[in-house]
Amino acid sequence: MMKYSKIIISFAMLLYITGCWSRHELNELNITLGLAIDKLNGRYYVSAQVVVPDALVAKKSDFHLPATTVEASGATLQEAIKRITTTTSRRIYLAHLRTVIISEELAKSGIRDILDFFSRNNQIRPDFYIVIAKDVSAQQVLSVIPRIEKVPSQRLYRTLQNSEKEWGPTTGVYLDKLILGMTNQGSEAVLTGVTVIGNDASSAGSKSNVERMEGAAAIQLRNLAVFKKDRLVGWLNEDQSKAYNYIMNNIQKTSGHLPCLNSDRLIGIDIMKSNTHVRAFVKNKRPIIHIQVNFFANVSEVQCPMNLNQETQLKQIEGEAEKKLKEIIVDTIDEVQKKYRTDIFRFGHKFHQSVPTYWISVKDHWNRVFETLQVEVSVDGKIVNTGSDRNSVINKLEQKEESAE
Amino acid sequence: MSDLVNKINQFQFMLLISLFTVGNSILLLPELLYRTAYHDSWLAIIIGIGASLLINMLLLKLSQFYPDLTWVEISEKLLGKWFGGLVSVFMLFYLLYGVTVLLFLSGQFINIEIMPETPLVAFSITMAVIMVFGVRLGLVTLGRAAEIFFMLVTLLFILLLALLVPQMELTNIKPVLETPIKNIIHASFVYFSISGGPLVCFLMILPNTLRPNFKSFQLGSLIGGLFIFLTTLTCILVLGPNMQFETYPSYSIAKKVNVEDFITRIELIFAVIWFVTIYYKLALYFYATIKGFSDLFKLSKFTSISLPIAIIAVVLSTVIFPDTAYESMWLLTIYPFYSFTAGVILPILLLCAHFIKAVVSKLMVKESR
Amino acid sequence: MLSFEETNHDKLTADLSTNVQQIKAHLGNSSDVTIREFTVPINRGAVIVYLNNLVNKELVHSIMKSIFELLKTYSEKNTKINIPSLSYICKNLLVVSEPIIISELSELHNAILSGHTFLHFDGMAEGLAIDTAKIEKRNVTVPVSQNVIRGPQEAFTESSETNLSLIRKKIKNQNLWCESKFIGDISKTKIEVMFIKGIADEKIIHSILKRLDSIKIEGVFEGNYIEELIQDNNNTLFPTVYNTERPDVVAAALLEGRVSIIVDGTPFVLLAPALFTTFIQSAEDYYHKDYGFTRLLRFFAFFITLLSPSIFISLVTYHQEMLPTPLLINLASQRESTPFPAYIEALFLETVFELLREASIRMPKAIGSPISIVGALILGQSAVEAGLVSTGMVIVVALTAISGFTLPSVEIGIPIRILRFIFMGAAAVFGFFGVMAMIIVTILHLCHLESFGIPYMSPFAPFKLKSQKDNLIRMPWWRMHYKPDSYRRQYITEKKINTEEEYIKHRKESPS
Repeated sequence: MMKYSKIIISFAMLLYITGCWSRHELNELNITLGLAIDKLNGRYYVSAQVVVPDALVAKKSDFHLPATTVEASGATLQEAIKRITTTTSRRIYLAHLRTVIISEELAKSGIRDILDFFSRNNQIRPDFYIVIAKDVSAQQVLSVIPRIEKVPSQRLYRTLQNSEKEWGPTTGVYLDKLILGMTNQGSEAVLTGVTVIGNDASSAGSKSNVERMEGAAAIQLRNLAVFKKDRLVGWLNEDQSKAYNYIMNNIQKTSGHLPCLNSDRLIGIDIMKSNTHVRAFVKNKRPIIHIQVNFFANVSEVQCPMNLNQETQLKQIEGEAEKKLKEIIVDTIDEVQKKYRTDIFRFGHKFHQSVPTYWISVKDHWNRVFETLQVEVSVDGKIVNTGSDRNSVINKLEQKEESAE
Repeated sequence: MSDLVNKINQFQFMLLISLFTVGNSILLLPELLYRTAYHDSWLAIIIGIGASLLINMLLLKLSQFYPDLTWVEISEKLLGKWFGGLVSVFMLFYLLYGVTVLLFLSGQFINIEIMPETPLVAFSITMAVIMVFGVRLGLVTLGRAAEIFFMLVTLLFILLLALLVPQMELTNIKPVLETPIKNIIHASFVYFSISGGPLVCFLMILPNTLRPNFKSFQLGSLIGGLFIFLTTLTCILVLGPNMQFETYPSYSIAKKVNVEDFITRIELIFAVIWFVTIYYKLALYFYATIKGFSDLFKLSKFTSISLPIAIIAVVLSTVIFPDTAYESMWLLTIYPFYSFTAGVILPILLLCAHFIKAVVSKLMVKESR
Repeated sequence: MLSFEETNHDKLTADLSTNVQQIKAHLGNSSDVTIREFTVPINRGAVIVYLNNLVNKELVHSIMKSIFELLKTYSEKNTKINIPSLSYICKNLLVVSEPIIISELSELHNAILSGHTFLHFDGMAEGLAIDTAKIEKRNVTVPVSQNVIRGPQEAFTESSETNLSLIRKKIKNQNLWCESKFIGDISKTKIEVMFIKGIADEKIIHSILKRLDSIKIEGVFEGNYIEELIQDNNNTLFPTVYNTERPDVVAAALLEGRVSIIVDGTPFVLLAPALFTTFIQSAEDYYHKDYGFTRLLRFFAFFITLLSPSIFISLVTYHQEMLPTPLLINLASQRESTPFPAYIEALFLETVFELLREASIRMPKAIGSPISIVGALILGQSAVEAGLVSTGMVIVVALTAISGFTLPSVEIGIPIRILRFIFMGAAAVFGFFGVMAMIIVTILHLCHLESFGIPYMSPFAPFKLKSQKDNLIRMPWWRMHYKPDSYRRQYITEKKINTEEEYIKHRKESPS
């Protein structure tokens, strides 16, 4: 052991002298929470939203911008990101990315390059959302200073996360889900859309946005964008997005309304839990998809006089809800089949899994088969309870009015 | 005053085998197998485990005929000094190749995924240093440490699988048996070449084991295979068709662990599993190599050539694969045959030689009467 | 009983004055040596030599009286030979311990220096040494280092007789044997080896005694001198011999089959063999019904204290993707104002902490505690404010230090402190990969160690299910109805090594 001490010591010294190659101190990194990607004239324009750590942890009461945007352009994405180092003192660190915003024009021309870059980069993890900026540029979405959260990308991330849980038409798409949808044969991708609302969108990126009570600029999640291969081909509206999420079993909770029986008033339904099973089978050499939706709902508000204690009334509401949902789903599938002709519902994948022999024969021209695919939808809902109030307040009021007259 | 002279007991032997079988297969195999067998890789692994168990019986039988002799000594005894020496050299180069490839592949994994700026050689050298350190401490130490490490590896492994259950989708397995049988067999052959064939290096270690029996050998191989099977199955279930894009699926699924946004980003903890198993495979390969060389050249202490061979292995590891395309091609097509020759054909050769010798000696006894 | 080897074989002469002169010359006229010449019946010169402060003067006085009486009655009975033989005196002298007849000067020196009284009669070539020792010693007090909340509060003292008696008080069994040795060429310190015959492994006892015999050192003032000379493997920082100040720990260890070595002059008794789990276990585990919860906590603390700075360095410098985003942003903001890289900060803080630790041992008790609290707080706080270090690092170092103090034995703290610096270096160079490599190296090293033939990491490796009952957890007493065999060797029937020489040869030849 002592004989080798010289070797060991010199080896140890070598380690320190030659340097630690992968060492990155925290103050050498630009922690990037959001990326906005745009393409103009064949060049990629990348804006990276990096945090300013001091401001985020600031104990002082003045408002400091917690994040700042650095941008550059390049022929490829990697070039653009590297070129950012000419404008900022630190290197871009992508491991904590929260959202990536792609502009609509870029989406229309194809996002395959972006996906390839993300797959190869070893810093990128699959836990960030990708969204499409609608009606505004990607950079604008990134610049809207939020009022409650600190960093816009973080706010967008959390908005997506929460909205997914509460509101049917929203769904957030992670990178791996996107790649799964896009690259598989027999499925296509969708992405969430984002836009900027508010009176004064131009001052969205400055302190004045935060200093007023109303009318400030904010982001809003829009509906889903439909892709064919890697190009954006259209947008779904709110009901259609909701139907999509039902089919893909993404719904956790949502809300809807039904018309009252005798009036044009509405009953509000709160879906608490929903499960969808999609089955693919071949009958008489024709492919058929069967969608079974089961949901549990509560009644959230009743705008017309109804006695909810009667079982027949509840059953009626259930029936109405089922009917409406089935209508929406069937309409959506119809529209996507006819107008966009892309299988965003991954029906092809289902055929692949269940009837592989049939799939082999159609996989090369699946989109054409998809156009004329027969889909059967059956919805089974159950109203679980009617909220804290068994009987309707309005019911009582109406009764009171009647008796008063 | 240890009464256990240079020998490991059966339990430690079993653990060494399972750690060795897992080796770097956990990192390498899910992707390699997916290329040929797609989502039927799990079937390929089951077939591979079966084949490996059969070959183990062969090895154990051979060692039971010559209980205290290592491979080199057996081949010398059976095939004579020169031809036996040739066979031994072939085997030793196979083992040395194993060390070299492993040094390269483990460094490559860390280089690609975790620390890209560090040159690969740095990792190879570090791994080589601790490998030499471990082997010089002796087999008994490796055996004892295996008990501790195995516990650690198992705990982390179970944790990984448990945390990934919410993200598994059972339908990703379907359609079952879609890939042609030819591909599945090819994939199981690849599995065997990385996890089954190299078990022949244990023929160097068996003389140092107390009363080796079938149970410990087979159980070790089975446990190791189970680890790989479960990992590959989890990769298929969690990643689905995305697996084709990942170079290291097991690392990707570790990245996906996410419990309530709180327990997330813990993939480095699971990297500990692979580090330990790779280390054990390296150490055992290396031990077999230098023991073999020292037996071949009749050295008194086998540790005297440990450092030179380690240096040779490190330098070789920088040149074996010119690029990644060559590496994939080599692992999928060339290495299986190499493994098969060293792991199956050579033991069969020795067994045949043994039987021939037995028959001949019986005949000679009959004649002399 | 008095057996040593010395090169000096000078003998006593029959002449009183020559002897007295020789003794004076050898002992150098030291002021605490009393040489008293007197006459005994009938008209015979005698001399009594003793060391002032080591003897019980009343006992000496009564011995002189008894000698006087004995010789008087003898001379009255036998007129021809007016002095009995020394053996006669030995048998008939009324003192508790039998006098020893000595004829060599070396024996005389040993006797006098141990508190015996030397008695010599004119005309006889031999003398008597009578045990009259009364040595100043400390009272039995509370233990200084290993405190427990519930449990005996006695501690060993510097006198080996007291220590022996404390152990005998706890175990009143006839199989509790002790053998004594005198180690140290110049200091001739008395060492007692205690074990329970039948429970302790024979080979371990034999090897300990053999190794003690082969020690060649000038003086032994603490157990550590012996510890380093009898341990198995000298290439390690980890202790393979345990030491304790508490008799209850020693008694429990003796029941487990361990051997205790009591060194005169120090209250710390050695216990061999010692395994890794020994250093994580504390006496208090058995006095509370926590069933091993605190043991697990300490085991966990062992890892924290060893690994936290290095893992923190590697996370912050190499693997920032492992940190949750809000934490990362906080740490980044702290890092903005500090000039040094994380590793230098950690090194700096750890060094400061080691200095504080050393200083606090030597601080006088009166100002000790306020200074340490104030010092630590202010030091940490001011360092942060001055921008030298970041708050996160201060917390990590504080956590490390606190976990280090939970370990009950100080011995294991030393290798941990040294290893911690090595781990930090590895983390600074290679990140988590370096930490992993060092962990493997450490575990391999620990598995390689043996304590008197028993693998250091038993019962973790080789794994014994039954021994787990008292390893990291402690099963309730009503479940532990077997004899723990961690401290007994496993007897394998193949190629047993029978003697110490074979073992030494074997270990030199093969590395495993």
